[in-house]
Amino acid sequence: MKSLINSIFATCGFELRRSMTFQRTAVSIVLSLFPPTMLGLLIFGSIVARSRMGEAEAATFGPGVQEISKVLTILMVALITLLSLLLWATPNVSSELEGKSWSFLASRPGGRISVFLGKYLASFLITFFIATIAYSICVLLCSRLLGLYQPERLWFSMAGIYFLASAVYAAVFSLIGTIFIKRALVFAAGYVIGSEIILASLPGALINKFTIRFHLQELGIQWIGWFLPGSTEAEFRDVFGPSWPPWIHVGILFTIASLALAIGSWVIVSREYVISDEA
Amino acid sequence: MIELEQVTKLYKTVIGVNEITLSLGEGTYGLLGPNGSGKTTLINLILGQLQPTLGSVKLFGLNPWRKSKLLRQVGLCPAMEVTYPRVTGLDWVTYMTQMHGFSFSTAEKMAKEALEKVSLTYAMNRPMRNYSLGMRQRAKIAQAISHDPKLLILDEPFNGLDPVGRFEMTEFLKGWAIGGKSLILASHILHEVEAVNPSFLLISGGRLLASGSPTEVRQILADSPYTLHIQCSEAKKLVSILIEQCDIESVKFSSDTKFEIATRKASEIFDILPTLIESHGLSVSEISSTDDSLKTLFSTLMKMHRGEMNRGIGV
Repeated sequence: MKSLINSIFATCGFELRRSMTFQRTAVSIVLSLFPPTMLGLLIFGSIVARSRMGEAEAATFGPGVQEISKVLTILMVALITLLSLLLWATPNVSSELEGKSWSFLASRPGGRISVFLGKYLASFLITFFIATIAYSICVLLCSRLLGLYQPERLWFSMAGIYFLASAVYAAVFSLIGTIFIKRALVFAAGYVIGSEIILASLPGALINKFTIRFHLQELGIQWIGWFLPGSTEAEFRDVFGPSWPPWIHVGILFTIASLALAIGSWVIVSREYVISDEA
Repeated sequence: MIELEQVTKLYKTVIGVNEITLSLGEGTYGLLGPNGSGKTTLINLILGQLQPTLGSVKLFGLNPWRKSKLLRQVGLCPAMEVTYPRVTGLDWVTYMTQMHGFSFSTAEKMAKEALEKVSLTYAMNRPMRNYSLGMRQRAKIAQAISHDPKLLILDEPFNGLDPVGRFEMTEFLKGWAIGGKSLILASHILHEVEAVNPSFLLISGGRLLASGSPTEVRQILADSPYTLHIQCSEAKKLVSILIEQCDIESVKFSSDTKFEIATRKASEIFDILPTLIESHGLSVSEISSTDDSLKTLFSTLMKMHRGEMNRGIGV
């Protein structure tokens, strides 16, 4: 067990060191700066608009911008989290098979599981790091430019939500990567659209409770406060049912991640991965 | 050490290996076969990377499928190229050693020792994109031996090496074999494997055609039908002498000075020819064969397999 843990951390460390290339660093920087840039543009636009308004109109305009900024931050950071995980977690096996390094790794004791879990860990850490930079700058902008009330509460809430989001989605994408060797990215994107966008939005359906987004959204509502635009919390509860305590959502997310990792470990150990040259 | 019982591996409808039965004790083995003959599939079956469609495989007495702990005793150097261009040789070999469960500091120490054994210490801190093919091969060997395995398996280790690199590789492998550890060397080039003096496993079309000692393989080569092309100033005179003194199956003249002869005893002709040339004052400017040794060997073995020839060595 100790040697397996050593191997997992070795893979994680190796992947993190490999990620320090110009190309990969540039991708990470672009991803982490995308939400603050969008938010900055929104705030700049609102400041320009407010300068042209009368005092009474501007007073009602301010809180509205704050709410929209909060929603934009949450959605943009969610988007880059998913994009980052698609890039880092999904090609866990296919990149090794295409790079012909699979034979070297798989011929180690516990090599297959180490590759799976080590790469999962690396993709989680990279993504959470990117998300943390993104929401930290966004919260700072909201606090300094819009006078956001209790910015530290928003920061800690987002830290918790994106920590969970990175961990759970990374596990699911890693599982997809072990099952679908060819076009793993397409299948992962299909999962996001099909399950996390369409299924999770079905009103009143039991099935949306099996999606990750549902639980993250519930935690967001409870930790950050009501943030969804276009409706009230009461209307939302009428459609999606009463809220559960946060620990239930965290427990369900933890279970999904654990199941995905357990199934992925089983698949990667049990499956014959053939490099094209060998067949 | 390795036992295969009626092992067949199918990739959907393509046969990877076909009904292979063999038992290998500790020692040095040359796994010889043309490209696509099933060598890599056989290695992957032995290492538990593939599951046989039929039959059973045992490595150190256990079925290696999903028993990756057995791999602690094995070092594999695959035919594939290393594809981490920005990673240094030391970092890569250290990582590969860590994957055997060693801590970073222990793995780094072992990696340095392995790199020293393959004479790559001077370049170990350079990114591997700056390595020559020979250096990359040596780095691959280092990652295979760093954890001190009982069995070393090398798949086409001579690929792309220059003559100096080939010599160094041969010397290293001889040293490994002398050290009392087991070695399986897969290649499609006979003389490279021969230099390490192993027992041979000859595989073609997914079948184990024969196994035997170097002497037995040389014998089978010597008795194989051979076509020799000879250019001589007095071709007709030389042909008549050869027909009198050697076992010649056919002669075909392509010009006044050039002819080709088919024989099953090429070694006999090679032995006698210098004496004939000297005693009869002939001038031979060229002797060549269209068959390379491995092609001839496998052609002969296939004929034996089909029952067109008598079997010479154990199958």
